[in-house]
Amino acid sequence: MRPSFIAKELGTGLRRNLTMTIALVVSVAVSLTLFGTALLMRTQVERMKGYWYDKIEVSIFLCGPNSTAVTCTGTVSDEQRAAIQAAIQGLTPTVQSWYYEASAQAYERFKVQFKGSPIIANVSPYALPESFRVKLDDPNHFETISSVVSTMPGVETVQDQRKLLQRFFTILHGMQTVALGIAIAMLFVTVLLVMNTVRIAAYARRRETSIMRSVGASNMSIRLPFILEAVTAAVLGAGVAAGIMLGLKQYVIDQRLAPSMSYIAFVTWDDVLAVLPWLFAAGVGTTVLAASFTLRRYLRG
Amino acid sequence: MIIFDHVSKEYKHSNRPALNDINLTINQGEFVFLVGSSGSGKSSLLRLMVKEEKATEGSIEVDGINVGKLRNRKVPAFRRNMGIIFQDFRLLPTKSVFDNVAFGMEVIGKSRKEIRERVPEVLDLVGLAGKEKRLPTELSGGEQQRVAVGRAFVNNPKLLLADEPTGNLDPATSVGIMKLLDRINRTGTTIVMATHDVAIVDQMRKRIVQLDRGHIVRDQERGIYGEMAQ
Ligand SMILES: Nc1ncnc2c1ncn2[C@@H]1O[C@H](COP(=O)(O)OP(=O)(O)OP(=O)(O)O)[C@@H](O)[C@H]1O
Ligand SMILES: [Mg+2]
Repeated sequence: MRPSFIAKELGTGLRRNLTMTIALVVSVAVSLTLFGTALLMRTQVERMKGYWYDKIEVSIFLCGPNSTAVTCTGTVSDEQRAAIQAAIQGLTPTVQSWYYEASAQAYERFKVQFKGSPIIANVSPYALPESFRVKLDDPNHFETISSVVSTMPGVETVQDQRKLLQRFFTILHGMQTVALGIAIAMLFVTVLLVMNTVRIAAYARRRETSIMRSVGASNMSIRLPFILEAVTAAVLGAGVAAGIMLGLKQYVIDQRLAPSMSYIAFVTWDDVLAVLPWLFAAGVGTTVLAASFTLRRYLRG
Repeated sequence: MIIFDHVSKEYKHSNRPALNDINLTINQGEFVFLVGSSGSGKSSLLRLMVKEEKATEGSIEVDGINVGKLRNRKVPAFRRNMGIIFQDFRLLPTKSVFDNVAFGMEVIGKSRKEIRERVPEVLDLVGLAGKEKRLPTELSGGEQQRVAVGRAFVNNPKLLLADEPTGNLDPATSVGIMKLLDRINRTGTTIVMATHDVAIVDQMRKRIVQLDRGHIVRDQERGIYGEMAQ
C-alpha cells in the first residue's frame, strides 16, 4: 500500500475512535510517567548512596571522665590513645584516612551544627568526647576496624554511620519497589486497554477487513492500520510522559527541591534524558505486542 | 479453470454434509449458474473456491492451484486473481464510489497513476461515469451493486464469483446487472454465480449446475431453471 493511503486510513481510524484514542493516550502517558519515575528513583537512590557513602566515617569515641564502658577506667590515658592510633594506622589500606578530634574541636563543630539552638547552652565544652575519625576505603569494611579497636582500653564506643544511613536506604528501596510495582500494574492496565481498543476497532471495521481480504490484501496490510493506530497513540502518550518528566525535573527538582536541600544529590539532566528512550521503547513495545496479539485472535483470515 | 474432485464439506455442529462428493469442472471463460433451494450448498461451494472454508474431503483446483494445499500465507495473492460479489454489496459507507472501486487496487499496492487510469475505465464499464463522488447511501441498490461489480473487476480477475448478486434488486435492475456480468464474461473472465432468480437464469441460457442437499443433481449447458421446478 502507498504511504499516503496508509496515512489517510490512519487519520480516519484515529478520528473515528477518538474517545478511545484519547483514553489510550492518557493511559499510556500516566503509566509511562510512573514507569519513568520508578526508573529515576532507582538512579536517585544510587546517587544518594554514592554521595553519602563518600562522606561516611567511623567514629571511635574515647573514654571521658564519666564513661561507664567496661573498656574505660576514667579518661583515656596518653599511652592508650597512642596505642589506639597505632592500631588505626596499622589497618591501612582499609583505613584510607583518619584524624583526631579533641573535645574542644568537637564542641566547635557542635556549635556550628546547632547554631541558634538553645541546646548549646546546656552542653559544656568538655562534655563532648574526644575521638578518632576514620574514613574507610569501603564503608562496608566497618567490621574490620571495629573488631580490632572496640575492645581496646580507652575506647568507649565505635560508631558506624552507615547503620544510620542503611535504615534510610531500606525505606527508599521499599518506596522504589512500590513505585515499580505500581508502574508495572499501570503498564498492564495499558496493555488491557490497548487490547480492548484494538478489538473494538477491529469489530467496527470488520466490513473493511472482510472486503480487504476478499480483494486479496495481505494479512500484514490488513493488520498494519490497527497497529499503526495503537503505536501512534503510544508515541503520543510517551511524548506526554516525557514532557511531564522533563517538567518535574525543571520545576520540581531544580527549582524547588534542590535549592532547599543542598545535602541531597538529585538526579541530573543526563539521568532524566537517559530514561526517556526507555519510555518510548516500553510504550511502543508493549503496544505493538498487545495489538498484534489481539489482531491474531480477532482478524483471522 | 476450476476442478472439484470428490469434494465434501461438513461444518462443525452440523449433522449432514453441506456438500457431498462434488465432481465439477468449469472451463476458462465459462458462465455458470449455481442454482438450488436454500441450504442446498451454493454459498458453501463458492466459499471453498476462495478458501474461505476448507474442504473436509477431496481436492479443489482453481487456476492450476490446489486450494486445499495452499499455504495461508499465499491465500491473499491467490485471491487477487478473483473478484467476489455479494448479495449485500459490501461497500464502504464512508468512501465515495471512486474510492470504493479504487480500494480494490489500493490494498494490493497499486500506484496512484494506475488507479487514476483504471478506475474511470471501470466506472464507465459498469455505467457509473459521472457518479464517482457519491457515497453509497446516495445510490440506488442497483447502482451500489454496480460499484461492487466494479470493485471486483477492477484488478482484471480471471474469475468472478457472485453470491446472489441480484438477490436484493428488482427484476429490471437485475437485468442490468446481468448484462454487465455478461459483458465482463465476454472479456474472457470466468463467472460462477449462485442465484435463486428463475427469470434471470432462464433468460441468460447459460450452463446450470443445480444442487440439492449437497449433491449435484443437474449439470446442463444452456439450461432453463423453470423446467426443474415442474
Ligand atoms: N458456517 C456454517 N456452519 C455450519 N453450518 C453451515 C455454515 N454455513 C452453512 N452451513 C450449512 O450448510 C448448508 C449449506 O449452506 P449454504 O449457505 O451453502 O446454502 P445456500 O445454498 O447458499 O443457501 P441460500 O440459498 O439460502 O444462500 C446449510 O445446511 C447450512 O445450514
Ligand atoms: Mg447462500
